[in-house]
Amino acid sequence: MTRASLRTRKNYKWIYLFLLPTLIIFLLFYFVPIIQVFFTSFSSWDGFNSPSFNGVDNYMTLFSRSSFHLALRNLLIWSLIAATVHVGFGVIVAFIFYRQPAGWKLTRTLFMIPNVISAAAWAMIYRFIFNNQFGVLNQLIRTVNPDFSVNWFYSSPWAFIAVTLTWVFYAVIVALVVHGDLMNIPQEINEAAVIDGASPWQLISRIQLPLCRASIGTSIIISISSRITMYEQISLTTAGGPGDDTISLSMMLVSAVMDYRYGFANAIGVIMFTLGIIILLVVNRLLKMNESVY
Amino acid sequence: MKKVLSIVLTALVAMSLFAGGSQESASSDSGVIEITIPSYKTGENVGAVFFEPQVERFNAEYEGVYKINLEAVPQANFNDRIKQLAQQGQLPVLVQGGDLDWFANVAIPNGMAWDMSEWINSTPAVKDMMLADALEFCTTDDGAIYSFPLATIRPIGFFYNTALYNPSEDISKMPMDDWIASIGDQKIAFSTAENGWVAALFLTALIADEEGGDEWLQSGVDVKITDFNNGIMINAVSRLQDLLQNNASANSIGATYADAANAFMSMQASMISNGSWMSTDFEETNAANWSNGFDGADVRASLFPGNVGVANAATYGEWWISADASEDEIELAKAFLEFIYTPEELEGFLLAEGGSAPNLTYSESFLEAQGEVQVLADLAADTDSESRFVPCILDVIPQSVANVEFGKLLPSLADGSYSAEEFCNWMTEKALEATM
Amino acid sequence: MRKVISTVFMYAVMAFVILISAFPILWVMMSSFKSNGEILTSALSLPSGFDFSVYISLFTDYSFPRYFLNSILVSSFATLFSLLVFAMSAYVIAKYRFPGRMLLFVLFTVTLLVPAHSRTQPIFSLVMNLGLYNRLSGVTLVYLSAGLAMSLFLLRAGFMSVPDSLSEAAEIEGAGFFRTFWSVNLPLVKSSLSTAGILMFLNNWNEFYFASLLTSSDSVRTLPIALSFFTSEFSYNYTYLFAALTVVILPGIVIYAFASDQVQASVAASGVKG
Repeated sequence: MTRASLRTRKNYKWIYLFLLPTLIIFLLFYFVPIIQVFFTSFSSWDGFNSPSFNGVDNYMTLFSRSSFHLALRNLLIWSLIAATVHVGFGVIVAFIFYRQPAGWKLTRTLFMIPNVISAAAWAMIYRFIFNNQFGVLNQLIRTVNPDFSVNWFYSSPWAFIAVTLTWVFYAVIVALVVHGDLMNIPQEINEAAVIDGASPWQLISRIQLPLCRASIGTSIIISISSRITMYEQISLTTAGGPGDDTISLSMMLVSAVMDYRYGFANAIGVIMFTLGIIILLVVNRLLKMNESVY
Repeated sequence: MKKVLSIVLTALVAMSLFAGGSQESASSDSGVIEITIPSYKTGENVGAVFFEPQVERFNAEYEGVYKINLEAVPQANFNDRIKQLAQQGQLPVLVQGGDLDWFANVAIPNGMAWDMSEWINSTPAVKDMMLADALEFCTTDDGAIYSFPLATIRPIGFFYNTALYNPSEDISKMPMDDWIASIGDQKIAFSTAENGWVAALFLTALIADEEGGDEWLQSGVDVKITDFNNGIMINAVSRLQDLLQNNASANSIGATYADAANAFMSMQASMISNGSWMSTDFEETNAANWSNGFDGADVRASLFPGNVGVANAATYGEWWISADASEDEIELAKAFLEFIYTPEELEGFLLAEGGSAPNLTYSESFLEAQGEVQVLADLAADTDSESRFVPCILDVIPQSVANVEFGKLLPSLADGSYSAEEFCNWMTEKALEATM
Repeated sequence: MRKVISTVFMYAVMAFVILISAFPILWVMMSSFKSNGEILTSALSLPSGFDFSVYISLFTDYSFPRYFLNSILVSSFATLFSLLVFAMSAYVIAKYRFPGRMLLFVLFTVTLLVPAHSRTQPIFSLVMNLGLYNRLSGVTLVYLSAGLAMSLFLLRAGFMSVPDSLSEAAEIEGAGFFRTFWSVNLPLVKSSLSTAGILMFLNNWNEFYFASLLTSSDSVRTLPIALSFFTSEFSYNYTYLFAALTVVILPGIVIYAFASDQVQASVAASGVKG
């Protein structure tokens, strides 16, 4: 710590030089929007005329909406699923890749396909897969149970499950990030553990997993952030329905923009920011991501 | 060596990045006044079939004087693009469509649109073609006209496949209830996903059939409707629910427009509601998209029972002119707008996309040609002085309700998990949220 | 016995991954050879034949090779440049404790959550004022900002797992700040760089909103815009849609397969094992 700050003081010029390009990008592309979103969230603004300040009205209206409560509930459930099942699956795949079984490279390449396809196209494909009449999923289920009939995206409670299924196992980013971290573990550490008599399971749970906590934390933050911003997967499948079963903050934000209620939309945006920052700080703290691993 | 090669390659690529697309040029050396305008009625868009050749005809007609170049841009985000161009003072000379609320609240008050009233008033060839309702709507209190008023109206009814359904009477002259009773278990292709377009058209006809329904819909043209908890809407929705449950084609729940169109064109439904522009889908040239023995020649069209067509003349037109345009460019724009309202072009438009031009005296050849396109002839024959035109329900409610909430709840209405009352209550709640 | 179980488990997971990832796209490709009616009535059946006429008309009506080239140019330029820039700031944020460090990190990462609608106006006017409207360079410029949060995250985590002792040793040997970054730390985060690079590239590859807003002519069109022509209002031709999807998606997959092998090879060659 003291040593680090000593080095820091000597290198101020370099540090800020290194930050400068990113800072310029930030100022050019994000600074004005963030300021604008924040300030107009306290106003009534149609996007045409100048905004008129209305205090915390937008927030009060938002907090009183049942759809907002449902959106928060959905986000909470999705975030929990993201942090456990989604990240967990990605970690499992990463550990499998780490052992390099035959065909792992091919699997890794194929796993990336869903990310090569735009979210819009992916949602469209999923509408076909989940279609009740001719969708692949139901046709498969019907080979076992001929009477099966579920309109996945359009009936309660299936819609929530269907939307979740469009992303939950597509954890290629998690797998890549964690795999990269695994590859960085010095061989000596693994060898030393084996010599000390660690079982393969102990090697994973006591040595390798803790050493990957930075990448696992990164994965959790990225996957929860993706749940906060998730839009196409919902708007092009359930549109938040049936009822408000699959409503999200992003859907509410876009609806508000459609009605020229930019002040209100931006209040939703501020809530999304705030949630993102909280997640970032909490996960950082919990996984001690600020501390160097070695 | 490898390094040099990669630097040269990088430089080449970087140069190609800065090479631009075509830039708008006001005039060329030859004295031809030339403009470039973005349009979404290009390429695969349904509107391109007529619009692209029309611009070519204009360019041919005015060869050596005027020339319009089209830039094909996607329909998605088209309105955003216009707004952003306007903010930068870079509007194209001729602006197509756009966001109507934005046009009324921003473009007009900020002087972005050129006032065409003087020109229209002194050009009877154009003015005489315009619909009275449209002209009135587009004329501001102080007499200015910023949007080119419509000359044609395209009432939407529905199409039916005579191979499956052969009504014995003239459908449009039947009362709605009689017609519903008469169709038995005929299937209607509904779309209930996206904005629920096809279902919304039927709902509009059902609302118009209710006592006072016409007026109720019309009232939304000026002030968006936010209260749906009334007898008119609840009755209409519950009748729609019956149709959805008894007469919807098998794939209707969660069907997009594409699903509905395909259900109709593969004999899985005998009826579908859509605008007359769909007529080109039933021509022989489109046969590759038919299946299951569907034949476009079997398709007929009708206004809705009760002699109702979905259409609204009291709206802005398709075109406006940028106030920043130079005098030469405005001359070109006027020439183009005058050109598209010549009898030949109007008739061509009607033949391609359907509808009628009430102020135009049709030529013999037009009537003959229209008679050959069965569905257009059907709609023209149904349209008489008794016909009632009502605006589509989706156009008279807040946008988020029209684009999201309405379609979002249709599947639940269809599968019975929401009653008509609950549906209307939901719409009301969401409409209030959208405006409060 | 334990070994058998774990092998079976590994291959079961891999089979599942392949199924859920490859099946949808295979289905799209297969459907592009079927008629509209076949797609709707028998979704799972194999196409009755391989008729390439749809693909031929796609390539004659549209300049897909051009769009493809544009997409490659825009995506790769933006990715390479921003990768370097973001690596620089991720490095100092990970390795040095300077005033404002956490604030900058939080600010940079919340960019992920800025709604597109509020970014539209400033970006459009920036591109216009620079005279880059309807130019590939304008789109490239905007894409520079795209992966900020995600890349910073991945790269910061990468740099943090590089032992400080290496940098210290280098400095003792007289390496300057830049050399320590470039020759000591950067090579050790190749896997983070490749992950961030691939994700940014694919993001740019798929980006539609700004590309559609900032370009208007055919010569600067990218693949996602071309695709949008087939999903516009009142289009219902699934065969064309699936063929267009295939044409747009396939090159992306090939590029990824190729690039990931290259990247992997370079990571292996540098002998990075700590």
